[in-house]
Amino acid sequence: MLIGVSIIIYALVQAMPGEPFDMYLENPNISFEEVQKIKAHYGLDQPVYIQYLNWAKNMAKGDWGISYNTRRPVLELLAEKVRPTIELTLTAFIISIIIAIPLGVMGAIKKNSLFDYTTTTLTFLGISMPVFWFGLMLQLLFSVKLGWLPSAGRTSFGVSGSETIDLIKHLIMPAFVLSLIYIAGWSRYSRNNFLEVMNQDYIRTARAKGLKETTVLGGHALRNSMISLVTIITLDIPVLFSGAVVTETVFAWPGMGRFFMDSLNKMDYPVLMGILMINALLVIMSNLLADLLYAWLDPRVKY
Amino acid sequence: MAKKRNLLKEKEIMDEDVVIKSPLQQAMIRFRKNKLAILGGTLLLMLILFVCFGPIFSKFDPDDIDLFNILAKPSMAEILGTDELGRDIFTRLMFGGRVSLAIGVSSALFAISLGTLIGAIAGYYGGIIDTALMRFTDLVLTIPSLPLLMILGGIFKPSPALLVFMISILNWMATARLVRSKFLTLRTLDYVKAARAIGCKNGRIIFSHLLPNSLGPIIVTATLTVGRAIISESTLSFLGVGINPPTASWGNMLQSAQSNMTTAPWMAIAPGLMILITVLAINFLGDGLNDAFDPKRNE
Repeated sequence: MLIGVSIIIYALVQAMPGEPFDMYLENPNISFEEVQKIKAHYGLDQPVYIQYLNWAKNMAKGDWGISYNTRRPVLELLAEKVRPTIELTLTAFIISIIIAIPLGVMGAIKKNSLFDYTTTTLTFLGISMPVFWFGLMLQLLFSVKLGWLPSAGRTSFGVSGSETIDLIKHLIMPAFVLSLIYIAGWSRYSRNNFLEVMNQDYIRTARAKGLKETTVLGGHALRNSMISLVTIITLDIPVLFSGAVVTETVFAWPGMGRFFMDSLNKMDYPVLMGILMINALLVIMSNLLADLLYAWLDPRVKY
Repeated sequence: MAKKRNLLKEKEIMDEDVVIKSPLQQAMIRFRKNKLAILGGTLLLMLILFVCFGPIFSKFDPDDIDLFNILAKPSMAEILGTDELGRDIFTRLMFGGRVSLAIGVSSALFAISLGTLIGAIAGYYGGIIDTALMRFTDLVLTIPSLPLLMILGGIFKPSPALLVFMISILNWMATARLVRSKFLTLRTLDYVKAARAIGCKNGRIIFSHLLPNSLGPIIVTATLTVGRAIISESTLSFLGVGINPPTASWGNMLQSAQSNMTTAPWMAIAPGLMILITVLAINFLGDGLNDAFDPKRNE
């Protein structure tokens, strides 16, 4: 699977017009031969499939290549960028879960109430929102008009006071923007799912036994509706990760997403490949994790 | 007199009970009862009219640069102000809307056709063909689509047609799975067996028996795909790897909005609001259609 994806991605990245190092040709002091020599040094003079095989072989050994721009190992560069991205995506992930599930469950319990209608309409709004524009609007409101929160970056120079508070102030807006679509999606899903579970026979049995309503809802219904919700959430993790590209660009968050955008502009193939492969790896791993979790949570599923 | 009224009542009851409505008619009735869906449909119709016929009444050209009148505040002449090159935002909104809507609709059509084709073949023939096609679908699903679209946009500096192709080539998988599972259940039904027994060819069974019976869910996904495609296009254009300026699209109108946010916030608001309203209308419509075609879903 991973190999198939890597071949497709590699072919596409190679299809980009213009080659790395061609920019040196514009410098009159660098000769054409010199440029050819550096291309040969990085193996760019060889046919594409040889390049791919070399790259794949090194990749498997843990050598992800050298960034053309900074001449530093890709893995090392990505390791620097991974922390801010994890900070952002993890915060967004937690915000989404904390808001989405109670909203969905409450909506299902009080079906067709004012609360339910409000949240359902709001989730529609969240699903339809262009993420980058939501980011722009928050910047406009909280940074430009009100001046409460910094509009971009991860830290500010010369902070007075605690660094953690500064980081949190920077984190609030991008994390909320990133989580919006998942709050909407997951709360919608958990509402419908909870309603479905409520119709099951074992809920009627539990009620017939004379259990308290809170026990029925919190114990029987909630636990059963969590099973498929957990799967959905797990499957969304890689999407959350790649969605960070847009959020990080809008908020100038110095993580992998913005690094991806920069590398795209500079045609830094090894870096692009590295980030795409991490993404594909995440997809496969979360699929596996979802299967395992599902089997673990639901004893009816056997492999 | 009273007798006559009773007769009338009876007739009404007869009408409602006796006339058997086709599934499509039943779906239409359910759809009309859904207020949000009607609202979505109406909004969408108004938007289409706005972008199609609005420009006739505008006295500005969307690409007309006026360097003496840049970043002008909204006024009577320029209802939504001007952008960083002095172009009228209201006019660009209409022309940009044409591009965004056209790309959304055509990508969805293309993606749905491709997905339906692959799903239909996999679901109808089954066996090795099914396994191979579904493996391929899983493979494409594994590719992170947004980063890949960005790379493709960076490579090709896409024309609108190419952008449609790019977006649809990464959006057909859900439809393929849906159509396949629908076909898998349908092909075991008696009327399909009957069609085969009287010697119908495979193509005829697929197109005149199976496909019409899976049309409901296909229409629903198609609607939702239009919304997703519009978001994809605007995101790419915003990042500078979609529709290239000077051609306006709702996404690339926001490209320079961020750097001018302090001085000209009106640049940022209108295009995004248009995207939001459009996609919202489409989603309302899609949800309404879903309830109409699949009445069991929300009970």
